[in-house]
Amino acid sequence: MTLPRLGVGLQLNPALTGWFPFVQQSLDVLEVLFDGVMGPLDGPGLFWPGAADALDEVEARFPLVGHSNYGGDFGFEAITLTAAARRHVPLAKRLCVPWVSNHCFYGDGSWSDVWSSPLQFSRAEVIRVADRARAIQALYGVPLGHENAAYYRACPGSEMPEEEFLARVVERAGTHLHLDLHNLHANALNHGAHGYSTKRFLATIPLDRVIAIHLAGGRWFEDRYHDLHDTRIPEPVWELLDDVLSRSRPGAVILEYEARALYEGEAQLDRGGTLEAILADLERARAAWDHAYGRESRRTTRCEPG
Amino acid sequence: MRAGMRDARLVWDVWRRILTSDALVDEVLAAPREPDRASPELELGPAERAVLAEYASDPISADITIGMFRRGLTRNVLIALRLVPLTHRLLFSGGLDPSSVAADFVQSIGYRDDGPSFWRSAAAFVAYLAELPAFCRAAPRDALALEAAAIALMRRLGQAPPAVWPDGLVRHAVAARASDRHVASPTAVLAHSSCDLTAWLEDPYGFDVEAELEPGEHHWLIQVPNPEAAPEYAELSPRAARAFVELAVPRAATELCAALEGVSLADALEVIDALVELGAVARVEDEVSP
Repeated sequence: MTLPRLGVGLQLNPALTGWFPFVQQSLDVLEVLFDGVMGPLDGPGLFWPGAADALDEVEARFPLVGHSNYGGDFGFEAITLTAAARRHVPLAKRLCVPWVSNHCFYGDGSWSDVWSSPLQFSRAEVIRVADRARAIQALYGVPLGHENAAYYRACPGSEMPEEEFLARVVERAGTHLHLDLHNLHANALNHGAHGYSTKRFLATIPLDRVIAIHLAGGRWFEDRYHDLHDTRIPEPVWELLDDVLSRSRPGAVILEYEARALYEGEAQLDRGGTLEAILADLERARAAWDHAYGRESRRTTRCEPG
Repeated sequence: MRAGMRDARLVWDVWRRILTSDALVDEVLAAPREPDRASPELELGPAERAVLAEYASDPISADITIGMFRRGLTRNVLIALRLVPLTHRLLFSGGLDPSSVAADFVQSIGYRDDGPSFWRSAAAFVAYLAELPAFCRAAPRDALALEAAAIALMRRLGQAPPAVWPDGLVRHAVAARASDRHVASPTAVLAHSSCDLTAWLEDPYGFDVEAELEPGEHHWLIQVPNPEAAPEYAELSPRAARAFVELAVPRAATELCAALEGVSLADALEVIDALVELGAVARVEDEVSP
């Protein structure tokens, strides 16, 4: 499967829709959150009412890639019953995305417990999860990348580090990785004292199977660092980006924001400040991409022959 | 490692039970104790107690994730309410704290997680709101009932989509003939109100929730023209409403005349044409294939 090299883009997150001027941006790619546009699983529609019309404008302007949080991909329900099979797969085909990425959670039929349910990093689950991953990728018909999770505690029964688990899954399944660098950063802050290491993570996963990268921000409270996507991208994540870009060739770097007003320290920015902050992060991500691969390598700055 | 902990399915099932049980949450967040000392009334086997003890060994993380789960449920029932704009408007403009109402509702149903089945979630939430004193006036009660009927229709269409949607039907240029048999579309239902909801239905995101609406029986056709559409509403005359009900079984116009008693054939054909135009009924042969 050939992966298009697109460049730097944003996630079309519901928190940004309606106010963020997507169509005025020079984005190389836009990541559609399937969960945000899919129709209810117990209704007749593929799209949430009105979502198809809202997508038309961006679909005409940007290449779209697909992302899924709540597909139930790795739960225990039959794959045919999952939101992934019943909504995300037809959405991916309808939107003609070149790849899809999903999250490594259980979350059968749930939109609420996924963030507390990282996969059990065990030998038995490598086999079960990889077999499901292969089957789901076959349904999509395009590369499927698994996103490393931010979690507050590993699933009881885990026998190996997350990176070893992911490496074994993609090797067995023939699937890919979607590397969320802020999740790595968050896990390092929350679990570093217990041996979590971003350096070891990046040395263990097959970097040549990374199809896309997520960047985001977060905040500390209640003695934990939270992956809230409500701040600018922190400096350690930029450093991780430079490192990973120098050693891999992903199809895109996607920035995630999930707030209408970003935090800057304890204060919240107003709408204009939030817009400026996102645009500044985008510019910095483009500079990092261009430094690694050259300015002409992005979709919007590429010189197409003829 | 304890044997039960190796079974990812068992660990997951226990965690789901914890998330939806106040008693198990109390157990996880209580002072750590040996697995076999967990409260006997929790009805957990030894392997399940071991999993619970493992989560209890890190109560801060457990507390954070349980809170995230329950706030997620609250957020999601409010998202589900976006499917029913009249109810959404009534909750968000009626002087109540929507998040607090949603949190109470989520607790009242035992933290049931409907996940992406948003119509089911909306059905339960609308039914809960209909019991609140804040919505006991005729107009809010009627609006909630109307949208409850729309939700039931959408769930039915989710389970059994029609062979042909109204937008997929070829509208015939010629008017209905006396011998043509027509039948109500499965994509439409009839609902009634005790006051005139026209102003609310015409401005579902901005109507005045305190307005007193004109009392009187009204008949509403709720219809879904294609699978991607939201439910649409049209008011029917009493005669058209009766005709729609009679056309639950296929009838020719002549048979409809007899069923409606006192309606001429010309009037019956006129009603049928109007209902066809709305997509509420179709010729029997069109209903089978476009």
